[in-house]
Amino acid sequence: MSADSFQDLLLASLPKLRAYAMFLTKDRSLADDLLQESVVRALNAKHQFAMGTNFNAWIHRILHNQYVNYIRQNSRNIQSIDNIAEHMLSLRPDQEQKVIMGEVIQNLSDLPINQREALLLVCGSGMSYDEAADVLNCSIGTVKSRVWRARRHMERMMMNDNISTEISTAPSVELDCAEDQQPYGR
Amino acid sequence: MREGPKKSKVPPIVQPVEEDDKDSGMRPTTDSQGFDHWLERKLHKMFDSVASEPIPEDIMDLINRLDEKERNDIQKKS
Repeated sequence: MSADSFQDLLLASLPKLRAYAMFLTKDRSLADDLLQESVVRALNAKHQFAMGTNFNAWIHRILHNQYVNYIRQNSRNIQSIDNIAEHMLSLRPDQEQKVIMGEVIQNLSDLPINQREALLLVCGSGMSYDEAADVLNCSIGTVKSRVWRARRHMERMMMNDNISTEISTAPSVELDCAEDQQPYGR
Repeated sequence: MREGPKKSKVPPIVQPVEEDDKDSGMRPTTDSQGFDHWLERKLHKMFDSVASEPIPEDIMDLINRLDEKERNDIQKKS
């Protein structure tokens, strides 16, 4: 395997990987820490990567696993999405855009993690269901299901922010299907 | 002479083209498919916004340093 080509793949994947980490963790500095740890792991494990296979899915899976470990270790210390929202809002000069972007970011943070991951990978990062299933180590059907539920949850929230609190606490929305009950228990 | 079918005075129902298709930032349509497209565009835009930022220097340094070290190791071995 050529070291240069591995490095090229790594460098090319970093911008979207960082964006994924940013919206996944809801925290800029945590996202960069996670990105750095993932890069170190990828470099250490580069002999395990088979050239010609999907590097993007491989590196996203490393970051996903790092994040799962982080959640397990810091389940009571998950930080606010505010510093991401503030940054995003600072990029938008238009007031209506600011409000809507803020709502999207806030509602994203209200999604169950497994739905947020699936939505970000498929709709944000532009991965196929197949690739996202590879990253999340689940079936394509599960990814489709999670994305669908995430979209409907976001739709309800965006269409009527007045009932967002009610929705976010409703069991029918919060509870996932049986296989999603233990998304990180593998 | 027989007349053909009368034309209805009621205009055909046409789904309005959402301004948001041009990414004007307006709120999403009320149908789920329209919402899905709207949401995807917003998420893409958010991703692109972050992805266009420079990668932190310490991460770039890390990649370059380790890559350089590996090249040196390969040179030493050969």
